[in-house]
Amino acid sequence: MRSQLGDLNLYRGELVRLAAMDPEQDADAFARWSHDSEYRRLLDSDPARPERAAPIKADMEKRAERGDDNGFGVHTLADDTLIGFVGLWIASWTSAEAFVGIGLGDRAYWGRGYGTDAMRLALRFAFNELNLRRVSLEAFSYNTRAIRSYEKAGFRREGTQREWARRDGRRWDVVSMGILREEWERASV
Amino acid sequence: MLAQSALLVGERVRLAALDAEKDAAAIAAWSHNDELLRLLDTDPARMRTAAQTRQDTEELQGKEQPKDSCYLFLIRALAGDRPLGLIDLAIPEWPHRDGWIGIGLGDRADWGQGYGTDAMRVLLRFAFTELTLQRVSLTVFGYNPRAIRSYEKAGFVVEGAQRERLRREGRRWDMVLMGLLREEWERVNTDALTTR
Amino acid sequence: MNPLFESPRLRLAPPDPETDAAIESAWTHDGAYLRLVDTAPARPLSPSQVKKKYEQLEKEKEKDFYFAVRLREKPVEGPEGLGRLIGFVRLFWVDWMHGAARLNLGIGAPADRGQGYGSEALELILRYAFEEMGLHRVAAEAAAYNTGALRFLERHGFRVEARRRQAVARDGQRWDQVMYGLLRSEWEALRAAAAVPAGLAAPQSNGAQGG
Repeated sequence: MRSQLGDLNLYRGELVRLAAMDPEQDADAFARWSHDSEYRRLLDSDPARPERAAPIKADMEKRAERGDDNGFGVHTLADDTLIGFVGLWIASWTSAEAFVGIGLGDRAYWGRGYGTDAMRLALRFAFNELNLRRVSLEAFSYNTRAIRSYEKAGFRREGTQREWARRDGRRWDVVSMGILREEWERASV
Repeated sequence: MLAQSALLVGERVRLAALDAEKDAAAIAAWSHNDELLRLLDTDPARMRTAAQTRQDTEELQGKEQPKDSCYLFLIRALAGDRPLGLIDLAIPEWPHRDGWIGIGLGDRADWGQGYGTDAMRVLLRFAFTELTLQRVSLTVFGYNPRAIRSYEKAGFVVEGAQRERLRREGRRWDMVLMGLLREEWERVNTDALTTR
Repeated sequence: MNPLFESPRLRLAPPDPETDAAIESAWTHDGAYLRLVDTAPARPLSPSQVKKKYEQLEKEKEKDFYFAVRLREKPVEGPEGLGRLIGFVRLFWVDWMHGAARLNLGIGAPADRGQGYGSEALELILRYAFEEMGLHRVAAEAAAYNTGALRFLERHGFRVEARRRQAVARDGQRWDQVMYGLLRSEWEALRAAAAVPAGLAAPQSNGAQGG
């Protein structure tokens, strides 16, 4: 079909594609990843603990029913393996801002550009489809690899929440990052 | 400082929250105004009791729709705080920033007194300055020329009409589509955006 | 009476959750499809979400006439030998009191587009709307960037009734939403014109235009 929209394929990147989360098929992988304490501690501030698939599946089903959830499974283009997720949470529609969260549960894909590619797709969805004005995120200061990847995707450091997290007997900062529509447009020309 | 301090207050009316308990009787009384119902809605005109109205309202407000997709207000007269009618703004798809407006004053005696115009002015200000919408839309029936004139006065432009969309009293009538863009509204409402 | 559900190549059938959900889920993972088919934020659906959608449609079937579009090919695939699923066609927001409804139609897989299936499905659903449901008018809409859909609707007799300015935002731009309508009388005139036998087309063309 003909169209004047420039950017029609929203979900396909160079290494990965975004897909709907499927409670039936995907919950097991999420449960498997939760046994990796390093992954869990990079992801969020909840006490890391392994989880069963059933509650994860129930949670996915609840989200799927809402119909306005902006969470995606990240699959490799090479063999369609589910390797992680990326999701946007609308903080405010009036100010058109979302927070983005991303996690690659499968370690084999860390540090190889898969996360950056998934983040680029999430940003394209945020700016081209949801028409947002800014996307924000927070990262633990110890997650240097993620911060580098976010910078590669176009995020800028906007500030530091000092000693926000406590882990391994130390306090850690949380880095606040953001990208504005104009910055994204300039970078993606 | 922001320009607007009394965002939901106009010259003659204010927009207030709807209280299922307290306001049901007044709203139910309006449903006996058959002319209003047929100007407002394509559904068959139906009367409601206070109990039914209370239930409708509770259902509407309790619905699991995203909070920011529908804004419903009771229009109250500034003088005496009497409830006059309802006005609502629905944003079905936020990415497009297009809001749909519906407005009705319950009692015929309050029509043509400028209450509706004032309520619309307040709602438009809310839609553009607080919700930061790009446009607002409404539909109005071909047999309601008074409303069309009033919406034009508020700045709306006729964008077209669904031909013969309505059948009432054995005749076919158009459903007129009207729209107002942010830029158009800003041109005549510069004061709403400048800090005094 | 002519068959209501079959055209030369296609068949209208109910969606079958068991076989169709996975196929429709695959369509929704093509962002292009979603952005052409409507203005709702394009989000992919998992097979279980598609199943839920079918269940919901079943609950609202008085006001939502949703058909799977299947191919009448041989050998026959799909549920109960009804044929391979290629798209959907739908009359929704059915307003019985006023005799109006809104139309939507999609051919899911890129490989199935551009083969005239859309036109064939449209002819079926319009006949269903006017002759079976007895509607007075059918409306459709498309964003202005969707030039294929605009041409498609105009070619089939839909008239532009309104342009809702800047009502669609995508790719950082604003587009008009073009609103179309087709009245029963217009559809009947088109059918009468199309029904002129090929060999007699020239002598009768004046009369057909007048209808």
